Amino acid sequence: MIRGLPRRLDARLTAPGPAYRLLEVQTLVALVIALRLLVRPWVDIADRPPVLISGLGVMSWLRTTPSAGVVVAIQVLGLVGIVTYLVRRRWAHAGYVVGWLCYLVLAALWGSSGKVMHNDVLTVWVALPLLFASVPARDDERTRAVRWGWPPRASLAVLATVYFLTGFQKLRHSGPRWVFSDNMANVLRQGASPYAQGLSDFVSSHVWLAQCLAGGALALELTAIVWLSFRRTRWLFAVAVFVMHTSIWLFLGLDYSAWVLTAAAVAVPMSLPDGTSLLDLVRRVAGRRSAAPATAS
Amino acid sequence: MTSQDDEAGAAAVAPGADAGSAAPGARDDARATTPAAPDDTRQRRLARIVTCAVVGVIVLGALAEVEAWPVTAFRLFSQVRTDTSTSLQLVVVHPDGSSAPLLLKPANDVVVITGHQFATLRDLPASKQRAKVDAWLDLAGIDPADVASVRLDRVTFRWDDATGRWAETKRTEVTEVTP
Repeated sequence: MIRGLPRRLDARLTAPGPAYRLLEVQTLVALVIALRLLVRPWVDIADRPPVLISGLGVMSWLRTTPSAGVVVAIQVLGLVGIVTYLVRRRWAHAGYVVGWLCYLVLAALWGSSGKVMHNDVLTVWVALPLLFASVPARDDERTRAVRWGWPPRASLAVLATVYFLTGFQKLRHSGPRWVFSDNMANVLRQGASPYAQGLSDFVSSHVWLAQCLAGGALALELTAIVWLSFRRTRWLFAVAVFVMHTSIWLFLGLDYSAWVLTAAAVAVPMSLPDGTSLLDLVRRVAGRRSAAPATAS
Repeated sequence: MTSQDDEAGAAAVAPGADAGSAAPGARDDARATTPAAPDDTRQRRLARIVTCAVVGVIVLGALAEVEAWPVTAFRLFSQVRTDTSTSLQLVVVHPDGSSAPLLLKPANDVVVITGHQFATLRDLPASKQRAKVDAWLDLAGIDPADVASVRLDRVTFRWDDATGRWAETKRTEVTEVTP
């Protein structure tokens, strides 16, 4: 069974797939990038003096602080790129690449302050395989081909790998103590919750409750590959990730919304059965909603 | 990374479907009614290269604990936190002997995060230490002329169950810099 695993994985990766699925995943990931480009105060980068630039990364070669104008120009260029992709006429692929590159540059500059920042790293990695995907033409949306099938699956593999590694590193560096000690209670005590300090205090004062939270988070991360391997559990993974990161946001005020949105952007369309596009699903749900009052009346 | 989304096969089979594959994940291949597209082999090779390269870099970066953004060890809260914690604090000492912690702009995350560089301040050459301290004073809106020195303290806290607060238990001077 194990011996044939690489071959089976390869076959699943490279099987033909529908063009609309690639479009759904790529469009949703592009929208996550656009949202991050739009809402993050990237211009704050311009306030950091060059002497305080620190850390290794793709932008380490730049030892000066870009002006606010340059930062905004990169932000706008990235947004123009994503809009070009979304319009899907000419230069759609180039637009996606430009959007991703601008996002990469800004996120790398943001993180050059001496601490590794993880807020945008998942989106950057998950979006990367999609750079190598051709953008289907409008006439090709219902067709199937190898070229449409593998890119969203590659993004799914990246998503699963990253979540698994976050759990793996906890076990590697702390072992079971990460769950079965007062670790999570102390994490909550060290953090400051701007939204639910009372709830955070309540959980940290009940160590067993904090241990349940830690156990749930670690279990989710370590089993990410399993959840994402099966079509029917992928959307559940997106829901579980939403719950986990929302609790982190509530308890510690840390914003991992990009992780939630990226997980949903890939896992939700990939959880739909073949022949059902995301748009079909939305239409069906909308149709059921509009039909309900008519039936009632 | 599966192709279960390919299983139902309700969608039209297009020229892209590869009838030559006997792979278990490619059930639709057998249903293909048109010849394989000429670029299928090239696309399969591209799929393997891209997926293995991206996943490989991510995994190797994590195993080797590389921190070269976006390559990262993915260590998110991976260290166990105990009821004792230490932090580094810059303290501004005024000419009259009074002192106060140096607080960076709380509204600007990029600036606040530079506080993580306090850990490496002691090991820097004096000129670099002064340059960084001057920059932090400037960001905090403090005129260096009003400052006698800036002290870097290592502060130890312990969680006090009785009060429900962190209590400072020890303060050690790490280094002192004159702006």
